[in-house]
Amino acid sequence: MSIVTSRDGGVLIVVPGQRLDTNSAPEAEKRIASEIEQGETRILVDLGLTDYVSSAGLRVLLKATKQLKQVGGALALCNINPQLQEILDISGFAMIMPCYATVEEGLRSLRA
Amino acid sequence: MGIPEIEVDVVIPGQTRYLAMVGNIGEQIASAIDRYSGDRDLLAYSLNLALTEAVVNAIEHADPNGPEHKVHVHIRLADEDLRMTVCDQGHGFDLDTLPPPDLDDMLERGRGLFLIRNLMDSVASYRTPDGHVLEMTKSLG
Repeated sequence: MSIVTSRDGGVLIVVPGQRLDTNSAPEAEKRIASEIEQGETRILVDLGLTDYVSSAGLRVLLKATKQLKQVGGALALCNINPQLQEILDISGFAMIMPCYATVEEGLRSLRA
Repeated sequence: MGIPEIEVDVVIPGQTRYLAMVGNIGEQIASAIDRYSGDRDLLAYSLNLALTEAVVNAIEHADPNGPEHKVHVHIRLADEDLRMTVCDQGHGFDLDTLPPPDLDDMLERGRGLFLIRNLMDSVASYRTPDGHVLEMTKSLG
């Protein structure tokens, strides 16, 4: 799995690969934790390339959300496929991690 | 009991490298079901996720001192009821003793079963002579 990061203003955009699951989650967790340790406080996770997120992937996102909250920051998700969005809504995870339709909307929210 | 429209029986090694394969079986079943009027893409994702999470649980609860760990997945669709069981020789767990899901405190345990419970109509856990079974059912009618 390859994770691509970029920066737009004060927001770090993280783009995971096709699957964020038990096998790929450790690398994603390490990468995001490293960014937070280096001072990132606002992270937008662009799931536009990600077909599948398991509970292990959700753990990575929840952990980052918690870590960022502790330093006054925030994490948001965007570009989520409709099936994953439905599952995030049903399970209540969307209430913990704000979800936006596009990168632009996510950036706008994190900069507000 | 009606004739099963679909029945799949598969045994995999208890290793995470097989998770995508098991999840793919769930997706293929969703695409193969006749007369389903709901959101087929959502069903495919849900079956993939529920099966994958159940197998992850089976792997995590494996007995490290036991024989080579295998996970038995059985899927049966009959009379518009989909029944999926995941059986392993591990320690298992008692669903009734699991704490209620707390979205703010799900970093360590319970996310997988929480998702399964949200995606399926019923979830049961029990022991048989062959091992621990997690049974998930969903009505497709």
